[in-house]
Amino acid sequence: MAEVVLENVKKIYGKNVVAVKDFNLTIKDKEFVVFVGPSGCGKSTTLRMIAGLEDISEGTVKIGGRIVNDLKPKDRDVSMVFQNYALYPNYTIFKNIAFPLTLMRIPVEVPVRDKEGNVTGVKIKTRKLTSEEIANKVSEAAEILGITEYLGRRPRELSGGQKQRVAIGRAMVKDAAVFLLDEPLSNLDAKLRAQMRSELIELRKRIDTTFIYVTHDQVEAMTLADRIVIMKDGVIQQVGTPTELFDMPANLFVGEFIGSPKMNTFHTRLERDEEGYFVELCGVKKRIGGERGEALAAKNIEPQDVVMGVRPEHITLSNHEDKEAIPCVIGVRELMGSSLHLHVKTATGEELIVCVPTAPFTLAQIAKLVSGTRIYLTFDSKSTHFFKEETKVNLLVEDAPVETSGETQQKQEELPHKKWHRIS
Amino acid sequence: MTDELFEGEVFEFYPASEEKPQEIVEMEAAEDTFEISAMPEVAIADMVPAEEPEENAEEGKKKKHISQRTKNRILNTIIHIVLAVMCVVWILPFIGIVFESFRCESTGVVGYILPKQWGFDNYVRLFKETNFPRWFGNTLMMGVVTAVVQTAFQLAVAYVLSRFRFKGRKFLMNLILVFGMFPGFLTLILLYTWMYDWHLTDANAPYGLIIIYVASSGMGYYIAKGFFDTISKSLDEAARVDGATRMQIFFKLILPLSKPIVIYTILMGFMGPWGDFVMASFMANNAADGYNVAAGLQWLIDTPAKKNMNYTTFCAGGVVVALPITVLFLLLQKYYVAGVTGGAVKG
Repeated sequence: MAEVVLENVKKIYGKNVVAVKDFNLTIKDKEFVVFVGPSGCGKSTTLRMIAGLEDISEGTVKIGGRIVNDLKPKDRDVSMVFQNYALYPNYTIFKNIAFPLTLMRIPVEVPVRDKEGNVTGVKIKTRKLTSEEIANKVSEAAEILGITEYLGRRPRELSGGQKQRVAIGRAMVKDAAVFLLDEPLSNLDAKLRAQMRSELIELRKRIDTTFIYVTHDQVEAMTLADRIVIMKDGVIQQVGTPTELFDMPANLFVGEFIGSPKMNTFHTRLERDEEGYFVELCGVKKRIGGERGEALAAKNIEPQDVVMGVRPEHITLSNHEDKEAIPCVIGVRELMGSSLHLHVKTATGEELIVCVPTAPFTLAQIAKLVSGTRIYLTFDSKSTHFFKEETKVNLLVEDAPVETSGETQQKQEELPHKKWHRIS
Repeated sequence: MTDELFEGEVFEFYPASEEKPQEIVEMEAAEDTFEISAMPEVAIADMVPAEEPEENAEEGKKKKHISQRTKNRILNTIIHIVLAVMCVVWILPFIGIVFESFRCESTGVVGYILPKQWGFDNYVRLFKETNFPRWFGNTLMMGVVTAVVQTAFQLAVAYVLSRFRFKGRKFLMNLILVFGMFPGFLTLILLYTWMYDWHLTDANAPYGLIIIYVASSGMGYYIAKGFFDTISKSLDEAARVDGATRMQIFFKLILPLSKPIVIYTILMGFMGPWGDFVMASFMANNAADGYNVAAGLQWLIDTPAKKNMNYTTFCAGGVVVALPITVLFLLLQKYYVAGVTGGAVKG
């Protein structure tokens, strides 16, 4: 129930190792924001800075208009769910969920009386919650999460999914302004993860507060988020809705990170003639018309070397009559059930992944799509993405951050403080 | 342009709405003309390992050599004999001291183990005619105080070094390690002089000794720190976000989880004064009132004449001293083992 504003937030370890660089973001009230990125990109560090578990080296963090830089975690009005659940092993589930409540003090108005006993004013004092209030809140949370029957047990007697529910319950009862989740589903197996994901979406409707969710899983990011913040090496690459990130990635990194299987890329040259833009792919001339062509023309993009990206699911099978179709040979095929992933090789040696939905094919046709078969591939020009060859920035996105090289990443491996942690 | 590159079948897809070329329709009609690649079968053949020859090889071995069971039996016998010998060697002095303490026919050192006349004379003498009750009281007092204060210090140091990251933390840990390597007796004279100045020697030695024991207690933080390290840090973090102070985290979460290590630390603190001889006798100087049990019992037999008179009483004292500690250990053994091993292995 509060806006979270991060202004020029930086995290520097030791003297010059920058884990988070100049992080600027405004998270609206009741928004569900997901920080996503590969490991070591600073997403967890940023979350921990918001929680107060990590010092903020530079910049300010505001929660509900209040600068919280120097506040302790407990005074920031946040609650948090950890990847490894972090349940208190010596307490029962009930006491685990009740723990934040037992520590909480709520304000109460106490009448101030003069010597004769007349009420002269009101003073604000704080008091602890009564055990009845605590029990009510705990059972309410337990009911929402479906863990009522486990309240008497201890954490070690629960399965992973149940533990994570308890952890969410413990974070829920506080009614905090901001709900922080640090890779909450990463310790669960794939099936349970999918189930918990949909439960989180349900839960979100009921809790209705500001959510900040950290994950390295782009599927979680795409399905849960109102807005995704995609990070790399401590720098925000793009902020946007899942659709924006999918349809208009700001740079090649975002393009490749979002979507599975990974976006296919071609190093080629964007050319222009009287008829419009075109590229030459594997010896085939492909016109970039329609929406994409118009957008390029509107920006009057010069012909240049580009990295062209096409998502595997946007590539379709075609036939030899199609002049723009690229002939390929199937290398590996992976039947996923609803779709078929084909790893193919073009005549010029480029390797692509094609994701073909199985529905439009007959079984006999699918049986034919095996290693060694020659196929023809085509794609709609509206689903192409063009990134500048040197900077890997999307030609159609303004102010996109230049994709950083892997250097920072390597530096982090050699950090003295990392060694330090290992010894301890 | 690259048609020659491709060998094998061609798959051409025509959207359903469009009219398919006649040839394709014909091809689809005659499904069995398409051969599915033989690759899967090859793969299956590759995946099935040839297991049978291995089994045969094992059987052949069995026939040639002594069976594994016989080997184990021989090895176990040898190990058990060695262990039995070690047990006897180790327990003999204890049995000896118990037997000596019950000997009534003489009080000096003798050349046999089994007493000729059994009785409690030595124990009665120990409590009635010597200063032993006083020494026992001194030691008990030192043990209890040291155990309490040392545990508090040690756990605090261990928790801080395990959970907090501050400048000089590593340096401090190394420093403690290096200091711990110096024998404590190096400072014996200095400590005596200080204690003398504060009137904490001779009859007051127990109080001085408490200070000395407790002063260095933080240095034994290793095992407790190792144990705290095994408790996930995110537990602390979760509690901090939940609103707990560091103090509350330590007492409400970490301590209940660390029962074995707390008991281990208390035990170690309690036992220290019982076994200390050098420091205790030095600090008490010649004042018998200030002795702990070790120094006092030694004083009973410190000349040949006294030895002749008090040797069996000395043994009885040894048994009495061993009793409380043995009982404590038996009661707390479960925790003690968990504490030592729990601290040693990071989980």
